[in-house]
Amino acid sequence: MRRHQFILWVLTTVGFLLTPLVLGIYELTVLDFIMLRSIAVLGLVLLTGLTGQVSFGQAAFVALGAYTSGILSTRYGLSPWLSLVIALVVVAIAALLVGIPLLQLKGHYLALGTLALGLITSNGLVELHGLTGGPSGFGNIPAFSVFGLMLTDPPTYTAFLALCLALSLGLALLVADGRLGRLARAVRENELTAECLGVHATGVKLQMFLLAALLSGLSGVLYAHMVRFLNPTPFDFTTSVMLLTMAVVGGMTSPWGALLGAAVLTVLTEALRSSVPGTTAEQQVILFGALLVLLLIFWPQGVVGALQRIAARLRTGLRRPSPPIAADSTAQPPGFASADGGRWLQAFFGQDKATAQHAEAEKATTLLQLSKLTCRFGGLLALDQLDLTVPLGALLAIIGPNGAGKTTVFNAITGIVQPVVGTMMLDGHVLTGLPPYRIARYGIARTFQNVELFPQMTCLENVLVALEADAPQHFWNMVLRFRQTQQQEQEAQAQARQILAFVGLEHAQGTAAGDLPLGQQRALELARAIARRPQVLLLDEPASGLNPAERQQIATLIQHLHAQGLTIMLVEHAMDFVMALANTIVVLNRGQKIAEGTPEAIRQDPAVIAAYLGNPEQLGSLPPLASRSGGAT
Amino acid sequence: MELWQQVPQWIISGITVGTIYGLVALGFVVIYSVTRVINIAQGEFVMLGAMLTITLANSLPLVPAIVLAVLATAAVGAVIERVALHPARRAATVILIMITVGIDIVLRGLALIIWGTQPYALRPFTPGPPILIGTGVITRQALWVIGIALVALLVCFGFFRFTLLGMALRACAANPLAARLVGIKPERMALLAWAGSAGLAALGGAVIAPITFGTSAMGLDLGLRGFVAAVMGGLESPVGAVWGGLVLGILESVGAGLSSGLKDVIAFFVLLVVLILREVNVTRLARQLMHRPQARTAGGQ
Repeated sequence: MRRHQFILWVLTTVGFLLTPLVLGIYELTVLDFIMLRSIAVLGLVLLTGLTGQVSFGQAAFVALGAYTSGILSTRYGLSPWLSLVIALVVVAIAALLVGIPLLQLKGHYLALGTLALGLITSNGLVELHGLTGGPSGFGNIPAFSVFGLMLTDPPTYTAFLALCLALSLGLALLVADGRLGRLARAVRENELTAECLGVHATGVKLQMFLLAALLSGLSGVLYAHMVRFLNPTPFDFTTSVMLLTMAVVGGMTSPWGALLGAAVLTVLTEALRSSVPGTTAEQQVILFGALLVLLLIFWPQGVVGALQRIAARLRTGLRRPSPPIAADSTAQPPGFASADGGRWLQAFFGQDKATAQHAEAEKATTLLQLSKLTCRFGGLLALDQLDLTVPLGALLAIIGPNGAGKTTVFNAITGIVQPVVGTMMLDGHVLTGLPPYRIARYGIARTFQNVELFPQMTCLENVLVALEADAPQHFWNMVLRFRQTQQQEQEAQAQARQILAFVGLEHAQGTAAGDLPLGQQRALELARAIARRPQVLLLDEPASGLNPAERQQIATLIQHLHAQGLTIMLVEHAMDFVMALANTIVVLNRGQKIAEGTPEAIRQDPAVIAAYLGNPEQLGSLPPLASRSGGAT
Repeated sequence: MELWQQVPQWIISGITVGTIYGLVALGFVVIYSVTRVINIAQGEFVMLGAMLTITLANSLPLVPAIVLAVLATAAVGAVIERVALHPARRAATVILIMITVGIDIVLRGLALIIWGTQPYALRPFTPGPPILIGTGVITRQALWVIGIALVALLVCFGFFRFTLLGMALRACAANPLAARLVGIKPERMALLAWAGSAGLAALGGAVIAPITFGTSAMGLDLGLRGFVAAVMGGLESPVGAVWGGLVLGILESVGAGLSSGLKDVIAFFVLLVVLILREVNVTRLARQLMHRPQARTAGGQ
């Protein structure tokens, strides 16, 4: 949590705690509802705003929390504190039952699954009348008590709610600003890329869904022991939509939006009720629906978004405008040019001279082995029984005409495409059939032909995601070991800055990745891959679309990395680039390997010449396409 | 009567309601494939179709009432696309889905204000006693439901297959960019998809009204079941959606026959099972089964 967030959090908490001294009973009741709803909406901000998943069934979790705690404490005489804990466990189990199957899927199945859960729950509350009291509900729910003091009168309960809200808000802020929140945003912006960096996307989504459900459940329990009477009406589909509307109104990008949204809408409906006496529940429902639609169309950033924009405008008004990022990257000499670059890189990869020599001696060792790899897209055989051995420390280039299956090789190695036949082994581990994030964790990192970044996140954040992908932090640790977490965060940031400097992007660390020019985007993608400390680095057309100077830079970067003993595989069309860099070249045509050897041997190979339209000129110093002509490397 | 003797009856009523699920699911698939939006408000079009038909049938003969109701609902669908979704078409899919939830809420709220909560009846299209088939009976209205739904589906598939507009829609679903390059306007296709889906759902509502009665709250449940049916069919296959509707209808009807509390759970349960089955990558599984032994021998060499 950043400092100004912390100060704001303390101020808010103190403010809420002081309200019972100032406000009357009616205002306090309204405030109670604002706080109860804020707690539930906080979960939606984490789930929808950060992670990009929608739940239309949060009311079901509110209901589960409220009814479980209510029934246990009323019928079975449990202490409300104990029933609170059990209720949260029940909510967690329900969330896992729904979340585990639905979150495996790409797409928006969670939305429909939670909608169904909401409908089943509201039906269940009515149908299971033996347990729930049916449509008329049940009362006499005991209140919370602290050391014999019953939390029954409004001022005391408001203070108690203020504490609960402070805790929930603190947790949400920690999550949103911390590692989990960053991984969640990466998953939202580009799920497949996040997976290829080693992020377990389903796990991240599940954690957020669980958190959202628990916050909703907590809100329900607190409601049950405040009102001390439960019936099904407050937990129907309308409530789920109301909570969602509050998240949208407040702004889903920040936990503060939850508070603002709950406050604005609760006060608005109260004002409507008192100023227009005839307002019915139906009209309120329509109001929520219409408001949701209008806001999503015209004002999707919510109140928080508006405040952020105002703040940004004030800041730029005060300071002199900073110069825009130079589109001309030649003006920025990359950091690796400094003498220190190489040494830093060695330290980063954890290699001293001795191990480098050791690696030299073992050059014959096979690191990555593909055998009989076959990939099929419908009737098209993209890869046909491909055998490929990548020795440790190789710089291997794959070339071939368009449609030869070059990118498919990378997609198969990284688990994006499943081979129909064949096996892939990395350093003794079988990769075949593993999901992308597990393959990434074995030490394979890649870049993409069409640059795949997290465009709305800063360059620093892009690299941090890669650095932290396989060490997902437990949110218990984040809360309990607050200091340690802060320290780790600072170390990670320092490391990320060094990596950015290595690719020549230290000036752009705070810039959104999507705003960079293409050459720098490719550099950032490379930085992200380096941050993985990979055993094998796969580069898919790293030079395409770059100007000669940028190509030269990328080539130098690749040479630096290779000099560290890093094994690199490269797909590229630009022949001059490939011939100058690679020590082994594999030529693919129609999914089959037609040649393999040193650049000199490939240049002479008749099969290769035939594959390239029988035009020997093309394999000379000339690049295959006129548009790709660039400077010599 | 023995339990097994009731099975034909359950299947008959399952098919009847299943065809309606199929119509809703088809609408889902059309909107989803052209615009990638999961339209939560789809069920409300069924409700509008039913309620408008019932209201109009008070002063009009049945056939014009149905035609007017279907056209009016199609117009509502078109207006919604233009007013609510078109302006936000560049937003993330999540946002668009949330917009359809807002629309669902507004439509249901308006219906609640207009028609209240009480159920309305519509007279069967043709009077007469039910027809006996084996140990089951089938009402004349159920025959109308199945017949009209069948005709609507045939017309639909004919439209997709043989008309230029239908092919343009399919082209747009397959690849919006390529469709744009050959002169198809995806915006216009989205409008058409919404109007068509709304009309189709409204027709379903009109024919089912004599059996289930019409209420202002009937939409959400139907919409959800239509979605489950669409998912069963693979979410992008119109034929699959119709089959999904039939299978879901029969499953629900049999489940409700065995235990009345099961009905609501079945749709959700089927959704989960289908989604999980879809997730289990069949090719991956097959490859693993086929190649375990090979991998072992390769390791042994």
